[in-house]
Amino acid sequence: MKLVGVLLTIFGWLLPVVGLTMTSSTGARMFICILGIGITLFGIISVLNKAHLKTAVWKQ
Amino acid sequence: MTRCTWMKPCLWAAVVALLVSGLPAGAQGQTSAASAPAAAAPAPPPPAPAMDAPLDIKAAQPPSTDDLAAKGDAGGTSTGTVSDVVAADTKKGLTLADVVNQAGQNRIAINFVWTLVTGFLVMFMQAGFAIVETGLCRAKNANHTMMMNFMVYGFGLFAFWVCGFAIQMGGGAPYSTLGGIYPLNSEHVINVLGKPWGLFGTHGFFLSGASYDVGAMVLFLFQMVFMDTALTIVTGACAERWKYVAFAISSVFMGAITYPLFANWAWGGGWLSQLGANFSLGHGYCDFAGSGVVHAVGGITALALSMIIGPRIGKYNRDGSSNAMPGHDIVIVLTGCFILAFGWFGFNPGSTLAASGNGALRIGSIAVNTMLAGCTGSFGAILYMWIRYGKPDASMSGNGLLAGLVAITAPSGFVSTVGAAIIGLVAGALVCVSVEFVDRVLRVDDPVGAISVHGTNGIWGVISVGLFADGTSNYGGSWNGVNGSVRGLFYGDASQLVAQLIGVGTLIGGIFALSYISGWIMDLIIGQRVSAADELEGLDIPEMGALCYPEFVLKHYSPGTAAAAD
Repeated sequence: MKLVGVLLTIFGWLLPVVGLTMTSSTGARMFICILGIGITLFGIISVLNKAHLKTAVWKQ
Repeated sequence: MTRCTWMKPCLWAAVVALLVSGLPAGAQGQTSAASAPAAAAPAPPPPAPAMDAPLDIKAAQPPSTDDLAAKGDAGGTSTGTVSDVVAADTKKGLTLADVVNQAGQNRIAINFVWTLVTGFLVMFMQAGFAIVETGLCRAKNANHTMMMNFMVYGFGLFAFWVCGFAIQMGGGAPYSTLGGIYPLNSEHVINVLGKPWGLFGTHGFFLSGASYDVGAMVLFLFQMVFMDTALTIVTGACAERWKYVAFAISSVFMGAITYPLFANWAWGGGWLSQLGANFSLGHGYCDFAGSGVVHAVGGITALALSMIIGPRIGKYNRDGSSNAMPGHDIVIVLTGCFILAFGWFGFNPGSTLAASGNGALRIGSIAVNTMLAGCTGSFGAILYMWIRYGKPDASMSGNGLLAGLVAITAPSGFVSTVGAAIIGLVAGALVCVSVEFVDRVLRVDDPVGAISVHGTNGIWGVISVGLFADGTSNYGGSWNGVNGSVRGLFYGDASQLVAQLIGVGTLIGGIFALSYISGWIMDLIIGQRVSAADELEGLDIPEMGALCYPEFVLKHYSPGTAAAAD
């Protein structure tokens, strides 16, 4: 799951970068950026961090 | 003779006189018209003095050296004259070329001195970070925490000298305010999807070869102290349970690779800075002094490593609730905050890399913006804590000041004082909310609040450029190769905000991933965290071999209890 979280993080980063070449509309680019940041945050907070919390030292 | 008799001849005489007077006028007009080209033609300009012709110095009336020797110059009106301009050829004497060259060198010299002195101020911030972090940690770890902040200077500097500076700035020439620094002109660029993407520089390793250059030295010093600020942020978040050897290797890696990569993309001519030129996104990613490049990189790396290392023993209970672990010395925390606020006068105004030409006189505005944001940052934090918890919390007030300073770092060169005050106020409240979120929701232990101060507010600073940049700055007529002044959403350019958001995505996506993967590998190979026994004893003896306070009996910390047990 940690690897999934890392991959989601990277995907969320690359999505807006690639999106720059798909549209020239400022509004569309802004939407893709916010979507990408959301995916990245989901990857870090909901996937990666949760995987770490499962084996947290205070649970042992 | 009757009236009619003499009036007729008079009238005729008047008519004749009018006709005759018109002729000369007409003739003059014609003459004027004929002579107009000659009168209107501008006088030929005097011949320009030859650049290499000797000038008549005596005409400038330099003071006599005998007079100066006898009387001195109490008023300062006779010191610094034509006699002080150096002639390239003393036999020929002073020429116009000498004077023009001196003017150019004076401009660059002013910029060199400015950049170096502000760099010295930023270097002193290391002391501020050291005592802030140490004061917020427990006394049994004080030696270890101080030593991390002390040696991060050396580890980071060495890594940056070996390869970090080359990766970051090796391809960004010309740096016009510092004389060009033309040897730093090699950027590794790939062409993808029809556009050039600058990735990293390739000149300047070990500052050798052609990069053994006076301008390169100035730029290196200034960029190095910024790099070290990013590195030292991580030590605070990972304090009290980080192995010293793991810290050392992490710092070298961050100074050599992680920080310089993003800094190249933002400041070294890399792809983020070229979003404006390549994709018509405002002026590309704009980060005047480093909310993103320095603070967010540090804060996000701190988040990644804190997740890998895990929280301190006793920080969280089995049900997930957190326990406060207060620091041991508020005095040095707040003193450290003042040192940082002082050093920030080098951080932001110094980022013009100039005090002469190219809009550099905006340094006063930048300094005032910096002060204001720090001030309102502390207001935002103290008000939040006072209202929510009934007391003005000292450590959060200090973090609020720092949050405001972090947030204004990126927009400081582009916004008005009103914008700066708003940015700081939001930052002060945001840092308090973020600390609670990181602590209680993410359950990531951060002893000093570095993730919230630098990560969260670094990102807020990056976004605020895209909102509050007001279009009044003018640093040589362009920024990142795009003509005109940087302007945010509130001043008519939404595309600038898009460029900033791509920078945010790169920080929390690309830099986080790189830091996490490198930290994960290091954890597998050498282990990042100390043993539980060492952690409970305190890292000073097991890791450093000496207590920070050997003459004091340190109280035993019992999680969840108000009183200390002996």
